[in-house]
Amino acid sequence: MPGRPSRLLTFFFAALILLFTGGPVILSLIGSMVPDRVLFDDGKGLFSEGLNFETYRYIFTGQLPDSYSAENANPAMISDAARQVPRSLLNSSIVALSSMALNILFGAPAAFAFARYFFPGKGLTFMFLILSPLVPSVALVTPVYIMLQSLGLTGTQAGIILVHTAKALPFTILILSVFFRKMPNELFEAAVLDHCSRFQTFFRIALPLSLPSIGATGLFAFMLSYSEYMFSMVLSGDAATRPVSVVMAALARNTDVSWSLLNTAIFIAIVPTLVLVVLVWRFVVEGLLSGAVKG
Amino acid sequence: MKITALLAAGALTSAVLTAHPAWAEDVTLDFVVWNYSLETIQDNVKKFEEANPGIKVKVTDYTWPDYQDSIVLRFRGDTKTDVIYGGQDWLPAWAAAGFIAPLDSVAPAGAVEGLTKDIAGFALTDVTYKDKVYGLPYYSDTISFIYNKKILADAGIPVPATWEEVTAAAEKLKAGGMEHPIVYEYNQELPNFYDAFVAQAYGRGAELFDKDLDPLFADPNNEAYKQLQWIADAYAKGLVQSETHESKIIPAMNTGKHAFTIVFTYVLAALNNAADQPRAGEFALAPMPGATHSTLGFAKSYVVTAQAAGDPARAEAAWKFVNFMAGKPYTVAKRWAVEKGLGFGQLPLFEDKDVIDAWGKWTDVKALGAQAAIAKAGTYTEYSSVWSAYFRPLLAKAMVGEASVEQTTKDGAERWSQLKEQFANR
Repeated sequence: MPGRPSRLLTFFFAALILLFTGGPVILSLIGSMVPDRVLFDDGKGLFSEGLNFETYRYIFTGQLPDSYSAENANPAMISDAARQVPRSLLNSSIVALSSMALNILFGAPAAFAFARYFFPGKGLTFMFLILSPLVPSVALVTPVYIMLQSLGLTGTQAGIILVHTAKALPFTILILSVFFRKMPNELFEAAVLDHCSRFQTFFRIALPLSLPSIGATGLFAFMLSYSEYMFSMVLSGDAATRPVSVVMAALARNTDVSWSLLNTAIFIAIVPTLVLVVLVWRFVVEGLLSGAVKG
Repeated sequence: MKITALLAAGALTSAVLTAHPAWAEDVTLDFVVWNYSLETIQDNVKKFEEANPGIKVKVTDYTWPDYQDSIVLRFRGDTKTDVIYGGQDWLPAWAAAGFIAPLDSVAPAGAVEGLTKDIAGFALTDVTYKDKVYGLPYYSDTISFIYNKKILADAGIPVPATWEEVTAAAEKLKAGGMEHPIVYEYNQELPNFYDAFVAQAYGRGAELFDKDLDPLFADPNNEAYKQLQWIADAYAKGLVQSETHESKIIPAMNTGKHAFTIVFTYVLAALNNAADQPRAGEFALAPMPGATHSTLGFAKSYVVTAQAAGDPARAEAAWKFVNFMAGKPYTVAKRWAVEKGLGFGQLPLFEDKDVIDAWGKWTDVKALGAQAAIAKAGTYTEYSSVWSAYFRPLLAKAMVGEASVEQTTKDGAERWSQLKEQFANR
């Protein structure tokens, strides 16, 4: 009996969280299938005209929703930016996966070096790495743009990948260095006795033991890249390179866009993220926690 | 045998290359736009490329809210940029900074003058800086006084022609049970919050600045001062409902709970959009109330960069492109108008049958043409956007009675004068 109020409270707060997190997703799903004329009309029930997939059809095929092809309809409200959503999902995936791979490639060895070895300037460089994310992104936009422009990387995915990698790298190094630091010394002493080089120690001892944490930080880098907007916007030039964050901003900040179409674009854009989160979030949390408490 | 074959292949390749001198002369223009209707832009570009072999156009687009910053970044980063969309509020600063070039510097003699005769006065002012024309209109619009025909007809109220008549009509509707007859876009963050005020003042015949760009609106006899007082009075009488954005005015007007609003004319197209608005067809524009019925117009334009103007081949190609997009016979401007409902600054299009047919579905084209002909441009300088950001919050307070009209206009005028002096001494 004493547990009953606490269970009720738990249920209440869980329901509240679900409402705030799941509610917008459900609303965007419903909004995507309900025509604008119903969404805008206070006098009509939400499902009075049933559900349709015309805006989905438009995004994937370019065929206008029937109501916007009718007499006296204004097709200008159907923004063709919405048609960039599928391509932008692919672009975002390429950029985020590349950023994740580069973060692991550079971040794991760097974190290992910071955690297990002494070298001149170690404290200073580590401090620089850890404090660098404190610089507001907006202050870096112009210098980064000019630098990438001189390298011919503006308007390319490579430019965005480089910047996203650089933005996530401090977090990767910080999280992994904590994990590597907490590994038992005996493991590395044994490796030395077995004549392992530093490289071999990293690859044969540290790396296999830290795979869950590496996976978690990699996913963290993936998510940072997937949702990043400012540099993606400045550095991507056209639909061929544009990530989904920029396309969504173009739609959401354009007030002339059909609401039904906007909801459709939102739903299509968040589905892959939702699937990813459902599949891997548990591993992310476990990996990060093991890095934090192990040893 | 092999050597003979190799020589033959080489000769053939040389012959092919010589037969296509354009390959060596191809010019690629970098055309930067905000991302409205990219498919139409790309299709227009394709048509241009077909008509102009040897010129390729690469389109780069940015979101509207980030456009100005992105363009400035491109200028500062020396990113290759040839033709861009320009805005009336940015153009003076870009021209003063040397980022863009007068069209005369890239066009054949007399070509620009031949086109400007057809451009509405407000649109021409918006593309002109220090007497030089920097752009041709891509899209132009005016701010309109919009009313619900059915509500006025049902209440037996004639269309108001002065602001005093608007007050009388609103009071009558309020007495009849309509809580807020006027719905107003009230958002100090938006530049068009100030623009809508200027449009109303223009309706009264106001001049906000003199020819030396000194502010006049702090004078209680100035029509802008009077209009601000009118808005404050309307709020005080409870006649006005605020909405934070024009996109919210569209559903608000479609509830049938409001009779009047003041917004950009393209909102009328949305209000009368049968695809999504339950009261589509009930809305119309009337001349802006006041003695002159003038209003504010604006023009977005095709502008050639100074970079492009500095390279003869790119300059020539850039002019051809701008002329194709905005010049006679106005095919592209007409396409935007007919297919997308975009306004235009080329006055002959108001007489075009296809435009009249397309626009007649949501507005009285003749009335709109008459409005465009008497509309005036805003006052844009290198510092006007800085000043507008300062003045809009003051304006917002005065409208809802949190500050006096006298103090607001006085503070606004002082700040303008300060900025004018600062920029003059730079």
